[in-house]
Amino acid sequence: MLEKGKISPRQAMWLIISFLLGSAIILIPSAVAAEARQDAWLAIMLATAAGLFIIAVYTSLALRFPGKNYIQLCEIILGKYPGSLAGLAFIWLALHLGSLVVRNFGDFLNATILQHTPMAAVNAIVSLLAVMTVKKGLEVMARVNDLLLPLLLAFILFLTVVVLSDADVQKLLPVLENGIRPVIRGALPAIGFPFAETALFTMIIPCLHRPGEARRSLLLGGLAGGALLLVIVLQTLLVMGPASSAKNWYPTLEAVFLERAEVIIIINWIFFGFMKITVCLYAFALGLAQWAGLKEYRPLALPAGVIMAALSMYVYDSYVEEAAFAAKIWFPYAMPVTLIIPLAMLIIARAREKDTRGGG
Amino acid sequence: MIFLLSAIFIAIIAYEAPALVRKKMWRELAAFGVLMIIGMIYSYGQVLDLPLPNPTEGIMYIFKPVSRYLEKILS
Repeated sequence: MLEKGKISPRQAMWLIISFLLGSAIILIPSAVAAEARQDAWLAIMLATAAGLFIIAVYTSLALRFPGKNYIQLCEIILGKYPGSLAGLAFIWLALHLGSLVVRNFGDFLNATILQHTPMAAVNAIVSLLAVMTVKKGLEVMARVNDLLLPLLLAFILFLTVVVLSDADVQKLLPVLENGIRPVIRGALPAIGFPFAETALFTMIIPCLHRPGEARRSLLLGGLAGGALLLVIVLQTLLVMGPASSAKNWYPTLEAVFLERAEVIIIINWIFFGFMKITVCLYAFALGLAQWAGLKEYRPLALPAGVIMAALSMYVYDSYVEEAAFAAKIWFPYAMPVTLIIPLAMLIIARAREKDTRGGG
Repeated sequence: MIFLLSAIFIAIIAYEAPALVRKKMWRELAAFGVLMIIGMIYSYGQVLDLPLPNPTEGIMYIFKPVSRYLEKILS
């Protein structure tokens, strides 16, 4: 196996929470509120339910083949050529997602605190940091996360309490003003981003101490991540109302502006963004090494980081394109790799199992 | 800027490649080389302002109809 490190199911759960909060902590409220308006919180709950279904699909698949990651599963279940094609799609998604998050990271810091720093510098530095973490291996990655996640969650809870004085429940009314459809429209981008993206964890599941607990811990992590996103969306809605939540680029930041606590959100973003980039880079380097039949994935981390940083400068021409891509295109684009292929593989694996049982 | 970038790339190659050669990991070296070349093309492209293909645009082109269809059935 390429990765010799082992992490505990609890560490995997914490990792998935960080990954879910990743860039979503900043970008999800406006993406969801744009469609669902004051029902954005319902849309997040719907998206969490759908996200848990996606997590259940790929963890069930992984449980059937212990010790095998997504790339290996593709080859075992789909055969040589279709399998390597599906594997390639997965690797590409990890790389593309990584460079999109690097871009979000640079954009956000450029807009808030590092206004005079060229974005390329910010992007190169965060990519280098991710490369260093990936080179140290999965165990170190999980431990960094263990260290910082509790602190940052305390920050989020603190902020939530602080802004309660500005909250106004009237802003959530009327509930379901235009029926259920706007809620579904608002939930779609949130299903794709961040929930479907957790399919990258199929590269980490084989490294759990007790792989049997993968499904339980990842589902719990998904639920916790969804609950935290719900808190954040509620916070922006209650403080700013649906109209300005949808209009602002970074409503999470605006919601705490009155309390002069933006820096706390920025710290949160730096860490969660970094963690998400690291997971993407890890999934890409490990996936590519597995796909090409290499013995080591670590030498690939550095050039992969170079590609991510360089590509991040190319992926979007403007802010508007960035928002449109996240809100409209990402969901249909991510679904094949994160849900449709794993679901097809699960069905094929089950059918084959029945076949051999019936025949034997 | 180009010199700085070249210096960074030379440093990266000097850091990773010798160990791979010593351990005779040729496949790893090939994968490293391919990734490095892609990374270098896009980095120099950014500095020199070359019009390289942007993957996001291609993906937008492919998935826009799907997104439109979803919007239509949900509105």
